[in-house]
Amino acid sequence: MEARLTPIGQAVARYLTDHWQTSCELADISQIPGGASRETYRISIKTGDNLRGLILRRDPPSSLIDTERQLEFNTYQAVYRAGVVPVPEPIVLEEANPGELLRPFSIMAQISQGQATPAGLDEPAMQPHKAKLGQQMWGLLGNLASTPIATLNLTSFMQVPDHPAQHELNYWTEVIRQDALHPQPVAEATIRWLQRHLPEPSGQLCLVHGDYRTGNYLYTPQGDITAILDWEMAHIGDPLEDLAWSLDPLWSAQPEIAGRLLPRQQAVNIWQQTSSLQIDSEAFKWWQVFASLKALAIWISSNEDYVNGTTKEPILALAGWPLMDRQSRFLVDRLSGDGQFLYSEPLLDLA
Amino acid sequence: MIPKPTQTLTDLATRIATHILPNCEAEYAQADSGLLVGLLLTTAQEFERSIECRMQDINDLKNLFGNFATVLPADIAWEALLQQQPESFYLSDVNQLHGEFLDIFIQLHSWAEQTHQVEFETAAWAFLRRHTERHKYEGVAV
Repeated sequence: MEARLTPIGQAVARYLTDHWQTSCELADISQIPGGASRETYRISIKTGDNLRGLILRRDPPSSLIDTERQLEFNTYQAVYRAGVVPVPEPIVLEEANPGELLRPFSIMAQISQGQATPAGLDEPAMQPHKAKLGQQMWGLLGNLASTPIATLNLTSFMQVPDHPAQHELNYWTEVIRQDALHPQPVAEATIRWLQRHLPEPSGQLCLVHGDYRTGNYLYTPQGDITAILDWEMAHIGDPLEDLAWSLDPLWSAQPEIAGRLLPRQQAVNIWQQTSSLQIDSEAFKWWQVFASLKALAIWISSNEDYVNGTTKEPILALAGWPLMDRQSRFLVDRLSGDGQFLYSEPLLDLA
Repeated sequence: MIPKPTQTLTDLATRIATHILPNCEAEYAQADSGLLVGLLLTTAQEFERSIECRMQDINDLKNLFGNFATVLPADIAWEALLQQQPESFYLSDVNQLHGEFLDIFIQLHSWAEQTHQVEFETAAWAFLRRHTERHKYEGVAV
């Protein structure tokens, strides 16, 4: 156990002793890397003869994505109760009185099996399991897409957009224009393209995860997905948004393979079979371009956070430099019309 | 002696990757060290080329505006930029002028789309292709 983390773990144990009205002791704590929007810790708490694995997510002084923790926690609760896709059990959200932990935090049950690291999928031992994992990844997303929002009781804490595509485009355009530290010619050209090609609302609404990709689910060495994580950008929207985001070339070292798992068309077929939803080809192209713009907005925002914020996490700067650069090159490939696809495949055309 | 910052930053990254990272026991410390290596390698590349890449963009845009001088609208202030040079070759001064050029480019690109100036649009995307190629980071795993 790292000495620097012990006070955090002990503070959690004292908080839970009060919250559960039973004696809790810290058994172990470690920090989990990769949590760009929250500090994330794996904690083991002893209550009586039992050891309980927990995940603590605490606000950092500044973060990669400006998100609402209440909305995220409520989403976990809604999805956990409905059992649509596997998620960790949410236990407590503390915003008003974080006490010794200083900043707002949430606690969830730890999923005992699985890792999230994308690079692990490229290990030779995982090769035989990729088809199974792909079937689950896009099958679960299809389940989510076809679940009525009323089933999840989302409207008590989420807005229902009249025009999901316009709503999302407006939001992320504002992020880019507020946070860009230098003019962004690729992002601006993309915003204009998206505005010119805006699809009509499909009439299909669902819970959109908002960051559904390899790296945001836990998988076992046997090729099973045990949990879908990181719901901080969840919202009600168009089902094609998550599907397009999951196929973005950034999430795979091989452009033709979605999420390091399957050819893109195969991933879409699984989603369609599971969701039974029809895909409008032109709308789907729009959502694919939008996915790269939204990612670009996040990298621009993270760069601003690194420069002006108080948290000097290297992930914020890395997102703002090489990731922004790579995402811009995907967009030039796809929108320039010069017929060169140096870094990505053409937009997937389902027509 | 002439310092070699790019090499020094690259050597620092290598030192962390080969001497510090393997000795990190905690998962978080390992990941953090890996990110520092990536950031140092990125900084090394940017240090070496930052002025050159921005000046190439500026000169590229001067050519672009000059080539389309007869059709570009007068109410966008592109003409005043043609003779501009940075105040100095400090990065902050070059950045300032680079930003002014990109601002005007964005306005002209938008104007070309609205008025169907297809040749300028094509040239604008060709500039964006060259611009993103110039600023590409090599060998940084992200």
